[in-house]
Amino acid sequence: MSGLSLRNWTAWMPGCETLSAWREWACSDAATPAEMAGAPPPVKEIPPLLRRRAGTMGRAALHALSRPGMPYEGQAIVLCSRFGELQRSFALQRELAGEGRVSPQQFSMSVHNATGGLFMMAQKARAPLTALAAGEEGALAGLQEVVALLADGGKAVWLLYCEEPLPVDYNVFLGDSPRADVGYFAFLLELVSGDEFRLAPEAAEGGARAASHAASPLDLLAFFLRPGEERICLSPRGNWTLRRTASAGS
Amino acid sequence: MATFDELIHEIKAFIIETLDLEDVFPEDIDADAPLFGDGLGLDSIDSLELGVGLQKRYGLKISAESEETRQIFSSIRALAGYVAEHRTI
Repeated sequence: MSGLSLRNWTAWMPGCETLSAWREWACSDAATPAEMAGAPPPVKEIPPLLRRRAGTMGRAALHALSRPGMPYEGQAIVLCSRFGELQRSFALQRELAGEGRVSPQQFSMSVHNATGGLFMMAQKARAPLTALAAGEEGALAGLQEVVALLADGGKAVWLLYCEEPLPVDYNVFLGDSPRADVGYFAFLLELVSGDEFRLAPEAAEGGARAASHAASPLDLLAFFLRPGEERICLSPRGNWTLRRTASAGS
Repeated sequence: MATFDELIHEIKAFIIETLDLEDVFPEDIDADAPLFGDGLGLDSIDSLELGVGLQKRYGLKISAESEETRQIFSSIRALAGYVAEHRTI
């Protein structure tokens, strides 16, 4: 039940905007693509009355959800972000502490599923939309949700990961999480039931090195894009592993 | 003292700025068209946002649900009329 195949993908961050640039990054030694300053994507595919409410991360997410090569056909969507648009929430808190009044528009967009909601409204879609915030284990939680939706009869699921830089005041909460310094990004995986990958907790191999950190979403994307890589540990707890099976890449 | 036409233009610019209306300019907005639904296409969250914005900008306090509120928000011209009469700032 936990066999998956990757049918399609797309990704965006400022300075790394084409699929070939992402493939190049995945095969390099760089932990993250080199980010460059750049304007958020215009997302002209989303009607202006809806897209005006999206922030930079939201626009990155909407852009990934609206790529021409991946037409939306009613798939369930799992939106996964560790912190969501925390810059917006933090600005609201400052507003509340200062003026005592907050912007209803900003407040309405500060919930975790708001960006996915904009996309669903633009599509007039009634498919399930799940928004997850799973701490350091977001990469794993997103895949588990996908497996559950596919087991429940879904034909294909769109799994979207997106993140934005934290307000600096929050850095103290990051601990030693790897890749916490990543800027804006969004990437989308279209997953179906299949036999290319298997998600399962694996018994610890005797003497094998245990991963000290959960894999980040960008680690997961790199894994999908590196045909030679056999497995990725998504959580040190229970050793949840996504493994490329023998039939993958054929 | 601004003329009523100048106030109408000011209210159009205020709505565009407050609601982040992209690619919309004051001259695109018909002062007599409905703000919500078929006209400018604003929604209930926009009405709340405008309520907060009107309070900050003109010192107006507009109740969230009343027949009068519906009348005030029925068009730019109606809103400008209300602002002209009741503004405290």
